[in-house]
Amino acid sequence: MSHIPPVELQAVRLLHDARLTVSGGWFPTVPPDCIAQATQELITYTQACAALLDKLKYLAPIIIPTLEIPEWPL
Amino acid sequence: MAALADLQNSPLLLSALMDSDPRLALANAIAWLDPATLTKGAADPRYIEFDYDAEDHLAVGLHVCRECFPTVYAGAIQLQWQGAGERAIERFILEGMGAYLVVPPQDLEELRYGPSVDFCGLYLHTLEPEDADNPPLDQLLPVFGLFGLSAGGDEPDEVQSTAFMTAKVLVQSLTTRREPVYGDLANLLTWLFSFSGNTAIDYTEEAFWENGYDSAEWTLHDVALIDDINREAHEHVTSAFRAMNALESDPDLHRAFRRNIKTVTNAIHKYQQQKGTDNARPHSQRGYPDAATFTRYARWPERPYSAFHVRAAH
Repeated sequence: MSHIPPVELQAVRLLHDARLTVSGGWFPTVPPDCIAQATQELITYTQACAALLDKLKYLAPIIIPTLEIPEWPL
Repeated sequence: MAALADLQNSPLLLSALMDSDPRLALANAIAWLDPATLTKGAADPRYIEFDYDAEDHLAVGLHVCRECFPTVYAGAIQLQWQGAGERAIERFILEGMGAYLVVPPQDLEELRYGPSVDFCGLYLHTLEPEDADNPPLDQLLPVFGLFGLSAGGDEPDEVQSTAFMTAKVLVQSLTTRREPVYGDLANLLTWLFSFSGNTAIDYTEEAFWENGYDSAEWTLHDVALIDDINREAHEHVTSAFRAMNALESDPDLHRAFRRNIKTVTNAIHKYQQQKGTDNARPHSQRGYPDAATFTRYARWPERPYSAFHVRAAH
């Protein structure tokens, strides 16, 4: 899973792009339409992550009979 | 001098550092656009579900917008970052939600109880004749009167049940009529006798809560459902008022309506006598035949279609 690239979120991209031009406040000034789209995408993403986390809690264990664990006899 | 320049550039360097790490970049984005997700459930550290009673009304407003109106939420969060006052943010949320809902909330405090249902149920015993804010009553009471009912609803159960059965028969007899005025008349009857099937039309707010029903929740599904219920209720009541106006302005229609009520009521009484209704048993246990048994007693005159309906038919 470490090879999976990070999700490209509009909010992160806006922050990254605005970093070059931002002056003053920590967060950039962006048109309201962009803000609304980026917020919606971010909410959907975090909700999807939460839903996935919820599913993982109920994941049934998988038996792997061929896997050797050398430490086991110890 | 170089140290001062470093200090001035430190926010830029820090944000560049955060950008280079996906987790920090995500945290930065969430702090910017969705900070409510970091603080939600602050009142309960074992947070499982949002507790509408434990949070202050602005937190409730932001949570509701985050769940159902993300555009409004985005605007409210940016207002917070710009340092707007609580009242300005509240006003922004209320106006923003108002653009989406059939029945907009008047106050953020209302949001704790779920999406608002515009209850317009009519119960005779709760109608106050002296209520100056209740102008339709003057129009409604004469219609109730045709069924033998009066203000206060003090009539015996038997009279009320027969009136209800008569209304059901009339509505069933009207289902075959295509003239718009008869659709309006059916809507008037289902409103007066609370059997439309629409919660907002069939219940007063008090009756709804007394029945122990659960309120709707702030989910996209429930918001859409409540909007449909409210929209249908408003159309239903508008249609019912059209029927009342038609009854007042169309003597033939009024005559037929009155005659049908009388004929059907008599038919129901006759049926009960023939079946030997047992008066010793409670009225609610006696049972009534199906409304279809009596629909043949109701006869309606031909009524004109409106210009719109004539055009649609062609």
